[in-house]
Amino acid sequence: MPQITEQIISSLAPNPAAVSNGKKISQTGGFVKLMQSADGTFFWGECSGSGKSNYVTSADYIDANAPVFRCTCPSRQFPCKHSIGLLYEMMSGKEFYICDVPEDILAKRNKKQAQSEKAAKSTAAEEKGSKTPKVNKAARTKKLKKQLEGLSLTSKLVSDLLAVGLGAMGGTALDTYKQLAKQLGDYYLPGPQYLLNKLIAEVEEFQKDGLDAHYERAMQILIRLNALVKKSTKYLTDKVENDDVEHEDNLLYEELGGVWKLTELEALGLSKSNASLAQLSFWVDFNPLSKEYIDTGCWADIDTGEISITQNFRPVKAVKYIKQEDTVFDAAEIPALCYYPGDGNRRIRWEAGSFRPLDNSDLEKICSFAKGVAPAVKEAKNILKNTLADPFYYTLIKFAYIGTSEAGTVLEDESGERILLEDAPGTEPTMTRLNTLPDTGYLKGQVIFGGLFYNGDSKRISLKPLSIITPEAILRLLY
Amino acid sequence: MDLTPLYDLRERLKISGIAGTALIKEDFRLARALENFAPFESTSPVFARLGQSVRTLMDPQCESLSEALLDALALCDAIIKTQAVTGVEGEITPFKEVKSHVHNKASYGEIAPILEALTLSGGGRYSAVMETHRNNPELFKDYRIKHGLVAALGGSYAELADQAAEWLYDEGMEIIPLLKAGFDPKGKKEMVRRIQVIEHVAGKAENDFYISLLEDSEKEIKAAAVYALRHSEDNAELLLNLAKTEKGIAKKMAHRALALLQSAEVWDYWEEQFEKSPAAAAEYMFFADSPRAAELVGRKLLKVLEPFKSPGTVLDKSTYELLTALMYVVPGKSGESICTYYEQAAALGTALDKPGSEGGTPMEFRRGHHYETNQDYLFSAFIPVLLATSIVKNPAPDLINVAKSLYQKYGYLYILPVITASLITDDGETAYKTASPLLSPGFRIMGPKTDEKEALEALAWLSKCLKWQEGASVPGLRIFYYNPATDQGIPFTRALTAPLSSRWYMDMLKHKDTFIQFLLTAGLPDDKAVYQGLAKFFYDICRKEPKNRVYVRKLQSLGWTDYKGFFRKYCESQETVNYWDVAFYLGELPVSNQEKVAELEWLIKSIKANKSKLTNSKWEENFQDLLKEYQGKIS
Repeated sequence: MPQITEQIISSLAPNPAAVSNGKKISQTGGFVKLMQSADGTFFWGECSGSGKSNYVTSADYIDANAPVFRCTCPSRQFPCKHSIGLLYEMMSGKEFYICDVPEDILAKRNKKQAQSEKAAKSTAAEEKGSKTPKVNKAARTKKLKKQLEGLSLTSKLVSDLLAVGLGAMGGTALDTYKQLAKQLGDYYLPGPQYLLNKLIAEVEEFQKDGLDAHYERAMQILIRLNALVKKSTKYLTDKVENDDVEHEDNLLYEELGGVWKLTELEALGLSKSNASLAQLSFWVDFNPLSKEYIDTGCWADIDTGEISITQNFRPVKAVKYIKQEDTVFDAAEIPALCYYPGDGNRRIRWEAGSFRPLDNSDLEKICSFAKGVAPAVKEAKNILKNTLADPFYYTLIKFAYIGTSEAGTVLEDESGERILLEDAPGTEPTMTRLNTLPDTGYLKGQVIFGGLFYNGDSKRISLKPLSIITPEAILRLLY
Repeated sequence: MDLTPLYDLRERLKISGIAGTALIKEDFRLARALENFAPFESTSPVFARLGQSVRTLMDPQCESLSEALLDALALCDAIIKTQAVTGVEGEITPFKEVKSHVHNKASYGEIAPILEALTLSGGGRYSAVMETHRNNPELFKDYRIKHGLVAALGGSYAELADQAAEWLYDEGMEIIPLLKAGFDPKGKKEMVRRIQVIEHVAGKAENDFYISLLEDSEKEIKAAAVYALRHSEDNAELLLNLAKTEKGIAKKMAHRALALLQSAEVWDYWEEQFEKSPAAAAEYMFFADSPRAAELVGRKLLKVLEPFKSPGTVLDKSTYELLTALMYVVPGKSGESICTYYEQAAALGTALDKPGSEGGTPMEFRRGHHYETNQDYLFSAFIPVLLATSIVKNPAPDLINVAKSLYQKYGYLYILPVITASLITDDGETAYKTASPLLSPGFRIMGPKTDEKEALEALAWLSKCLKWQEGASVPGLRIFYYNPATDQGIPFTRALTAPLSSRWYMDMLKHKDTFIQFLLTAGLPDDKAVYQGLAKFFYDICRKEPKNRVYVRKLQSLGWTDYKGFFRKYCESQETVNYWDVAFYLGELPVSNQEKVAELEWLIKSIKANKSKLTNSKWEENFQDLLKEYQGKIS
């Protein structure tokens, strides 16, 4: 029988509700029949549900790294709660009677194998020819030119807007800007389009509550938009003029709204083989403007200490069909890890991987990469000063103790350097959780993981705490 | 280095963006900011670059003002970020140890739904939280959940907020720092509830905190703080002052708090208040447990009764209202003047039962807010109920003695308080003997009225108060009252000293309708006769009542096996046959699969013959499938 753990079930489940529902089915004796093939590659169970007859649920482990789940229930979630329940039955060591693999499953297996062989053949053929995926040069050049047109339109729009000032951006003018923002969609520029929509939203908010902070944020959006337009115009113009339409290791592609394929990232050499990662923090945000959930995970490379980010975007419209990520407590072993272009905390993605328990030696290794306050802040400043940088630089800091002072909650490192810990606006608060830690030992001589950010009000670099890492455990202030 | 000129320059650039770049060349404030910044330019090349970029912006020849402005702002921001400080001066104090919280290896999927249910709005949150608490109580000890529980105190769904408060009570003193962190005296309901949790947990230990909230707090918060002052007798003088100086709800709370203190000076104050306005003062005596409170209320009641000793005195409206207000706070109070009141009230017989005016109706005493039954009583009938309720709340020896003496003197009219006292103080056999006259069939205590319908039914009172709480080993007597401080209904149950004997159950069966609810839920003595008697009792009900799921379940628990005709009667009782409803009923019916097949065959035949109509014609197929399923189970 394949090894099943809670972490594996959680990673396979479409969302946490499916995990808890599946667990409940297993715990309440939902399965009335359990069978498995003699070779331990196929498992099936009969489960009583709300339908008039029992559901037949199966898990095919012919490819142990990519099990296939099937169920006769009408759920559109995949795998459904009954499949998750079957995994719990397997995990808890329930008795499965031996049976033959059904004919239809054998047929499906054969079909899948034939498809894999075909895919393998075509990949081999591609590799023989060239390492990089085929590109339709003419189509891409056309797209780049269209994007340049759109950037020129955006530049003009920003110029017109600033000529009259943000203060005049109301009423009918706002409607015009909304229409222009919509037009940017025709120019393959979802990135600038999103920034423009964000700008409009800030001005609308200002009209509602009259808070100056909206103007400050609007100005920051304009600064970012201007930098993006300028840099992108130069970058795309060079590409068109030099007839070089291939993707490059450049942040601007994604900033303009491009979506990287893993094969493209691999082709650019932005990958690492056999990476070991430990998740240090996880949370879910909702972006009301783009109407999507973003599952964010912060990961430490156990071998190098590099902090990277995973982001899983789940638009509200498709939320039922996209798997929600969750906290990962185990270490992830990734055969092929891909990095997105950029500085600081690079975004990462991978296709397949396995889990193993995160042990004390892993944690000790992670802790060994922690820095003092001064070098961490220096690194952060170098990243944060870039106009197109993210507002946080996630890092590990080794500290002597954390306590409170008149200014707030303060961290002091072994060399006596201090930094203020605080919640950043618009993020889920973690500071209150420092008050409720189960042991104040966590606040002495440990390593903290958090995001360094610039606080415009106090004109300080502060740290938003996310987790405390000891040689024995990761204490998550979020999830 | 003082970077004020840099920040000023940035501010002026931002304002130019808001006002429009068309005005930039005449912007003398921007020019002045640049002038002030000029000395910095010689200190660093990057400062010089910034100065130059602003000059370019202000140059009349500048072609792209917006681009120049945003470039200058971008550079300015980059400099400001690199110049940002981190150091913090002053002494650092360590966090306090909190031992009651735990660290669970719980994921986002486990923690976030609880926090969302506790802190956001929307339906279904309460049941989600309760279910998680039932299945995974350890998650609620997680340090990440604590602030969610505190935030839930401000929730719009009162049940959830109250439940959160209950869980926070269990945290003890260690939760106090979290409740005080971020406390906003200008806040809303959450802050009021925070005070209530703090005072519940800490009592007088947080007296200074309550006092600190007396100034500059929102009305409701101040009122809660005033009420919290009752925990310390040292606050007597302060509360007396507040009672005189405050207005509205704070004044009311000061009085409520004062009623709970014992100090002599406080009770001198109440003497005065009772003289001035006895009805208003009486309202505050609800929770007062001081002997002085009982003595004051009793004395006032006796004074009210005084004129009725003269024959012919009628109960006028104002006396009735005063009497109602005073008797509202009587339950639980004992002492000489209270006992004398019961005696004198009983001795008056029906003197207060007469109409206040000629041709009018007699004034009745409502159940008020603290009786399980919802019935109005004439004065003479109300006194025994009042005494019985009082004994449930406080089985004080003097109250029990007065009940016994009134029973001896006036007979069955006072059997109810005597049974009540016996149930909660005597052994089972004695309690049965005391109650047996009441449980005899046809027994009625006739009230002062001749109309039997309006006669006092002590049995009804007893049957409604008698409750079996889930998980309890003995029944209890339950009364219900409203806490005037919070306006919340509070059930109060006092457990019987011994389980009810078989004879109780056999007698209750003689009063079928009266005790049906109790018999449905009660645990039973290990007596075959009781089981059989009850089974027969519920079987008879089922035969009369086709929609009988709840009784079938009870029958099943009693080991009953004859369910013949139940299914057909159930189907026939419905206008149209609903597949899901019928399938569920049949599924629950404790008969063999063979019998279920026979019943389904009958139903299908009946549907085909148009004798039974389906709610949805497509369901005939469902019944066929269900039949196959049961047939499959037989084979």
